[in-house]
Amino acid sequence: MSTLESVVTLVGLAVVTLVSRAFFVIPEREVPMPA
Amino acid sequence: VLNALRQAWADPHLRQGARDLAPFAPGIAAWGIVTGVAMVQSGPTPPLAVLMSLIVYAGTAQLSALPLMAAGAPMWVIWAAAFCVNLRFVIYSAQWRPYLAHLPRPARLAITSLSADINFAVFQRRWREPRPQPGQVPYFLGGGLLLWVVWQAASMIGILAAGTIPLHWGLGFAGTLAMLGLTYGLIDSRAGWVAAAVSGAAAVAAWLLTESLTRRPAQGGASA
Repeated sequence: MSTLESVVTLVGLAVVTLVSRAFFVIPEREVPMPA
Repeated sequence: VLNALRQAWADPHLRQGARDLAPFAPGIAAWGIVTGVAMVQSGPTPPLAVLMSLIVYAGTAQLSALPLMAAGAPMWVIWAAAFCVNLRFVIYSAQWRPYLAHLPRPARLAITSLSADINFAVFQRRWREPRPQPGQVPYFLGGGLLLWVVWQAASMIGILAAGTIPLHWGLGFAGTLAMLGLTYGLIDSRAGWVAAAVSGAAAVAAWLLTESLTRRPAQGGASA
């Protein structure tokens, strides 16, 4: 994996982690949870 | 910046958040060092390892991604693996929502970007009732920022000292022990104990399964 590919992968990992951490707090309206 | 930091530090809730998290700092530091060592030993150059630690800030996701990167796996596979490992953060975010929903979206994103296992459990111990209350945000930031600094400092030590700290010392278990001690203290119902027992049994079963899968070829080779 080249350095550029590695950097792009790391940025993607950062985005994935940020979205995971904020998954249910990103929407303005509450996401319905399965009962 | 110094003035802003001084003003922030004057907030008693922020100081309390940092104080409540401080006892767990040694365990987090040990886990951070192990992650730093493991990152460098998995292949990436120290600058890439530093970048990864700073922008990803998720030990298990980092450690699960590195072997895939070393093997040249497609990016989407690496990201999907990281998302699977991060699924617990998704569950945490559902728990964060009642506390943070009243804040603007950028603030919610910024705050949850500091969310981790330990500060999630520490926050839940201090603020049991899931509703916004004064002092919650500075309390979270006090613990979250301390955790970030300790983790990054320990990871940098691990990255720089990768050749001198053997992984077989088992330093990473200190982080697991710190987390276990904290979470057991949070269990206050029979349902909680059942959930803890089931998850513990599942973890041991998964470990045994991994052990048996990785040892079988070697044993077969030895008998042949």
